[in-house]
Amino acid sequence: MRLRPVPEMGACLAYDPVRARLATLNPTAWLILSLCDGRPRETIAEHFAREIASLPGEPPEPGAFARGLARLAALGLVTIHPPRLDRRESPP
Amino acid sequence: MTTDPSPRALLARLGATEPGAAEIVAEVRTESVLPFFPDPGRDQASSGLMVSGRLAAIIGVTATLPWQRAAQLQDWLTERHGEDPDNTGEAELARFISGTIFAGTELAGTASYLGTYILAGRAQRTVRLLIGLTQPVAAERYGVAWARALDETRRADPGKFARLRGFLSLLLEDAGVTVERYVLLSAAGDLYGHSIATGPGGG
Repeated sequence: MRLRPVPEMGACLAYDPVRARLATLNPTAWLILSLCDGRPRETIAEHFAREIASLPGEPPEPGAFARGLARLAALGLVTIHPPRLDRRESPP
Repeated sequence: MTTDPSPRALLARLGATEPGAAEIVAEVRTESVLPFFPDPGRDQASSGLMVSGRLAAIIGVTATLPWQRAAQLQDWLTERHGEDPDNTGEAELARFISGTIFAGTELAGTASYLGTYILAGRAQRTVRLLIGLTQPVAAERYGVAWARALDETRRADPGKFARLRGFLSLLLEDAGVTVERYVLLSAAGDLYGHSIATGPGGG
């Protein structure tokens, strides 16, 4: 994945060389993508909420993180894995 | 001043909004051109240019002429030969193109003279000769057919040959003559990036 910020356009371009696809992200979607570093979804969501809360102005509608993440997944920019089961919860 | 290329910097400047992401559909442009004539030897039926009952292609020969030359061309086209008022230079040219160019071949009658036009509304004297083709023909074959038709006319009717040569000289004498080839768009094959040369059914 290659990211090319285009601040003059208020956007970031994301290029997937494997699938040869290009996407444009607004800053909020770009922030979500930048936070997706393999951590659990809940942790990323909390981080996103903190970042958004620190910004001036009105925050986006509730559920923005989930919608943004789903959109990024739909574009193939992130992969959402099911929660890993704790060893103690593993089936025998 | 440098701009921090980070989402946070943009969010601080623009404010947070609903996340938005969209795929950019790239339009790949190449230097490819539509083939006007199929390659010599190519099956005509696979050219993607077969059109029943219509002109599959038009050849336009365009020249920008001095005013006097344009007037001479006009005189040539309208000049009568003999008593028949309809036997003008233009009628003779039309008969030559439709009846002589591909005479004796399976392409006989596929070429027709559409007219010689002068561009209106411009100060330049742009004259355009249009020839319609109902079937595509290789460029080499088209050129050979013209040469053969003129040669045969020269031997059979020197006067007619001289008149036709006069017309062609008036039209083609200067540098800057352009030849454009138009293909009927509805029959031009696949413009979406598949093989144009082999038509919609091609690979």
